[in-house]
Amino acid sequence: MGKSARELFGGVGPEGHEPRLAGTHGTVRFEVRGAGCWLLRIDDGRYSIHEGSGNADLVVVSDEEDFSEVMEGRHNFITAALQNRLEASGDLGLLMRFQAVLRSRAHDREVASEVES
Amino acid sequence: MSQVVSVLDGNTFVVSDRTGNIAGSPSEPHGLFFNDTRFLSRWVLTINGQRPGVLSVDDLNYFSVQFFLTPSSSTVYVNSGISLRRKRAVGGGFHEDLTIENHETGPVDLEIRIEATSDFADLFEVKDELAKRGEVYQRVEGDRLVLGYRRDRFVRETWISASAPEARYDEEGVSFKVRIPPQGSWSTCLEVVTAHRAILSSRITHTKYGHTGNGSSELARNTRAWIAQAPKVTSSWLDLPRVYDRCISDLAALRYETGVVPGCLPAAGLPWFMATFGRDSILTSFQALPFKPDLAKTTLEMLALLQGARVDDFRDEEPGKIIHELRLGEMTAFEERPHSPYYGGSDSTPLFLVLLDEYERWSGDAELVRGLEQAARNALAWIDQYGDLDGDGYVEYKSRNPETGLENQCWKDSWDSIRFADGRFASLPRATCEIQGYVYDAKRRAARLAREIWEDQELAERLEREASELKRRFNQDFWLQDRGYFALALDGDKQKVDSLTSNIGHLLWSGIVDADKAPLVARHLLSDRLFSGWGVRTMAEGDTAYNPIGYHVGTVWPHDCSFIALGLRQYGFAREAARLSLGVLQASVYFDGRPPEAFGGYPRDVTHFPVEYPTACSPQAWASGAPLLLLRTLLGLEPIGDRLLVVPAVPDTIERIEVIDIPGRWGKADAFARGQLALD
Repeated sequence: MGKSARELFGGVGPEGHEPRLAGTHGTVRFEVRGAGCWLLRIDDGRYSIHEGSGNADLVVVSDEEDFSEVMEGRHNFITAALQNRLEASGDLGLLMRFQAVLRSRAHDREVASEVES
Repeated sequence: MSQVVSVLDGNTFVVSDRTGNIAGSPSEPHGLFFNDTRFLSRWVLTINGQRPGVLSVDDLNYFSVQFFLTPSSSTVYVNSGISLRRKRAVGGGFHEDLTIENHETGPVDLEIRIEATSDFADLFEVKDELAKRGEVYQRVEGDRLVLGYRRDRFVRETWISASAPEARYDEEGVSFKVRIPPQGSWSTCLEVVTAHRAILSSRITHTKYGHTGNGSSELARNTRAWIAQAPKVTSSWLDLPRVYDRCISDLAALRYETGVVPGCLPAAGLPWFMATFGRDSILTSFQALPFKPDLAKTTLEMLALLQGARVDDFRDEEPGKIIHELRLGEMTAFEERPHSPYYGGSDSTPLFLVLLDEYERWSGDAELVRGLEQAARNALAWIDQYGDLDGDGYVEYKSRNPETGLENQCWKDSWDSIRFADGRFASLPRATCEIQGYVYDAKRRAARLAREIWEDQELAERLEREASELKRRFNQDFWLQDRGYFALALDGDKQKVDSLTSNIGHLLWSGIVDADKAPLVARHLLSDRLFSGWGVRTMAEGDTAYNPIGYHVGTVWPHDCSFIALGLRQYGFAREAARLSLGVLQASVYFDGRPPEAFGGYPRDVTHFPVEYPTACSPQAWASGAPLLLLRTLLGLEPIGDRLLVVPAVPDTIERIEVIDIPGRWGKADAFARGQLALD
């Protein structure tokens, strides 16, 4: 198992800027079974993450192990959802944008590690 | 007459025989399909143990059909006192109204049974005859029969219920014992629901469970409105509006609501390709622009969302690359196939840029072009950084996934399509000629967008420089001096693949052909070797691999011809464009106005009618889009600034063509043409 949900959110939050989310607006609620609930607010590239519940445009529900697999790029949202490992309801466009950012970041990490080695 | 009856709504479709019965086998594509999964493989109605025979089938529209049946099971009609009506409408599964009438003077006792089973096959399994890995189950649950399939946490179910109180369920179907009085009737509704939470589909179907039937009437309204908003075509050639109307309704049927972006994009074709495709969705949207520009907007938005972000060998994904195909079945879910999504198409990325520019030219929707600026820049970066595998300045392909990836990543994507004239296979990586044309066109078009909308003069100048350099080199490196046409491809050893193919027509569409070479290319396209009289063959008669019913090595593809005709017209070959357009439109008439994916390449003067290709998809989106692009070509429709230019070049065998209410940045405009072009 990879990082816990708490470690993952701690690693990116509580706020920041992601140029790849320019033009994107919306709120995502992550309900990670047994770990808690987090709200991610995206406002034209700026984002903030808070623990807690609230209204959202997109709700993602999963177990912690599946959640970390998706967040760390070992599984993609589409195959995870098709296997019933993850449920997503609401603005699926927002989900695809969020996934693209995760995959771009994974790409950047891979390029950086290639350069180092 | 087709032995198969299909009804569909987006990626839900039912394929049955002419009595409405479904008897799918592992290799037979009968069934109820949703999200690339067969939810029902057997649905067989019997009356007192006998399968009914068919009197007639009434295709009400693309999503509903009515079967008129009698208990006689043979093809010979036996006077019967009983008649049956089976009305089926698709949507979240399907809804079926079964009505039985007794025309006798006395009562009749009937045992009516519907046998229902499902193998939950992934479409890939149906196509490739593969075995399942999970467990199929059945159970009766109160007033319904549940058919299910489980593999780990992957669960798909089909729920079957009937409204009649006589319904008795067992694990293999539902039965009714009824007595129908003289001159009386009995009826039941049957509801078949595809139950699973589906990402990337607007239909979270189990919430729609119930005998309401409202779904289809909403669908009917929506479809009527979409068709009514299309421009109207009239002509002295009465078949022309028939072909046009049929294609518009087929495109309405193939619209696919992804649930990810608003609106619909065209799915590629029934039955194998009811999914989001890069190339097919882009080219169909391009063909439909003068008639249905909404398809292009949704296609561009959806493809931008799914654009590649990292290097992933399994999916052939690279940053900036546009998808080839997205599938939602079990084999995709468990990564036994790479379609989540799969990126094995090397032309989708430049074609995405081509469509983006063309959409703006017609619609004036600069806001979308601004919104997709980053996606367009990523696509441009992909062309130079990843598309060109060996740094020779051309985009070539070689799958990163030799096991389940595609060997050929151009539109002719069957394994045996890229061959030398003597039949040898070209080595990998392959740089097919039309992809270089698309790249040239994409860079020129992106330069216009950079200059006029993104306000990046530097980028515009760089792209124009690169495009012109590409054109110069391409006309040297791909030209076969002794033959007078362009090579199909450069292979892995930079050898020119010298077969004569329809791909050279796409080069005219892209504009990459030097003016002095264009007449030679046009002459080849209309020569006896390539032109069958109905259309341009994918490969010329006389090349070793040529086969008039070879998928990409001899058949005629209407969509292929439509882009070739536009290319001919753009280079000033109006007569040749008209001849080709007329041939394809006349062939379409033979297929009841519905051009198939492909038809045989036999010469017209030998067969006198176009010969059906055995397993062609029908309807197929870009085949249905072909007559639309051919109309554009015949009428010479071009957006010039905020006006619609109309410069017809119509054969003199057609007295007149009128297209009313062409939408665009000008509002609505009409086009009128008189046939004045002598073809012989």
